[in-house]
Amino acid sequence: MLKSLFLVMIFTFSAIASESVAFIKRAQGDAVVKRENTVIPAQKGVALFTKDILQTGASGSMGVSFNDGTRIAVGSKSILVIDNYLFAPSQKDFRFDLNLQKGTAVFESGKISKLAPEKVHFKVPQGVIGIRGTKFVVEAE
Amino acid sequence: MEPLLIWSAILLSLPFLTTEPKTTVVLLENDAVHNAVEVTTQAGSVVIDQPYYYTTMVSSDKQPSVVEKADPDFIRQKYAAVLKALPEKAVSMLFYFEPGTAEIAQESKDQVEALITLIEAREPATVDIIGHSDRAGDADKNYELALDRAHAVEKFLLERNVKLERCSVVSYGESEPIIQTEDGVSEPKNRRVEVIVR
Repeated sequence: MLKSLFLVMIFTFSAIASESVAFIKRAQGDAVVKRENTVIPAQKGVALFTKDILQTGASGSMGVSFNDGTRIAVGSKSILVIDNYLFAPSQKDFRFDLNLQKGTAVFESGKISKLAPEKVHFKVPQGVIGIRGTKFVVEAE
Repeated sequence: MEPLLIWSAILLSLPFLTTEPKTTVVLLENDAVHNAVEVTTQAGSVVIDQPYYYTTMVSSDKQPSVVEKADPDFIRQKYAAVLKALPEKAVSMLFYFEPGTAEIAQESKDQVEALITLIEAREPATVDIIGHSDRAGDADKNYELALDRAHAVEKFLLERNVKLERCSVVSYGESEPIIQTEDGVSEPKNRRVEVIVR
């Protein structure tokens, strides 16, 4: 019993890890996605995964669309990490944790913010932003 | 539409121009009815619930600053580059169905050209096809029926040679009605497939 539960858990985690959570709609200038040990140039159409790090230089920006319809933009000289993301409305299972380590970002909420606003956390160096159906801009200097 | 423009230009210089590390959060305009954020540090939290109001955090052990108005024009200018990078809003279209079937209603079939134009304009578009049912009949059967409806729309698009490279097809069954009804009630507006194009 315990063993089968364990197997189910492994299966669930690998399913989460292997599915893309978002993709890049817009990219400009010096903009990359860091994934494990690889650096992928940010381009329109690139799929994004949990734990991806979006990084831009002085001229860079990125626009990203998540599976639940949330849209974000990352401005220049920014580092944004997709800490956690899960959009499984049929299981009513949601997770959404973004972490802006520096720079500027715009967040415009999608379905997770409507269905489970308490699951949305936008971390910044000094604290966290909780979301209630929202479009906002944040700048960590 | 933008009552905020009535505001005269206000404040802003200090918190935005100092160089010590800090984070500024500005609420923007949004169509949502409940447009608000709660900004929290270890020392406390503030709520911003009006567009173009902002708070600043200087440290994790200090309260976020008292929420104040910013000048919308200043914000739009200062953050013009990042705002421009924000992807366009998703567009959603509804297709309706005959009762108890996965047969697309004729008036909905007529809308398909508009959908195809939209998908082509957004290339590489993500297309989410979400089937829904009304509450007539059994919930499990309605889950299947709503899934069949979603697949019917997918098939309809594929037959028109629409490229669906990033496409999901799911069923919400009777769980997300547009019109709330008692169980067992047939409601045409709830027998639908929502197609979201991003």
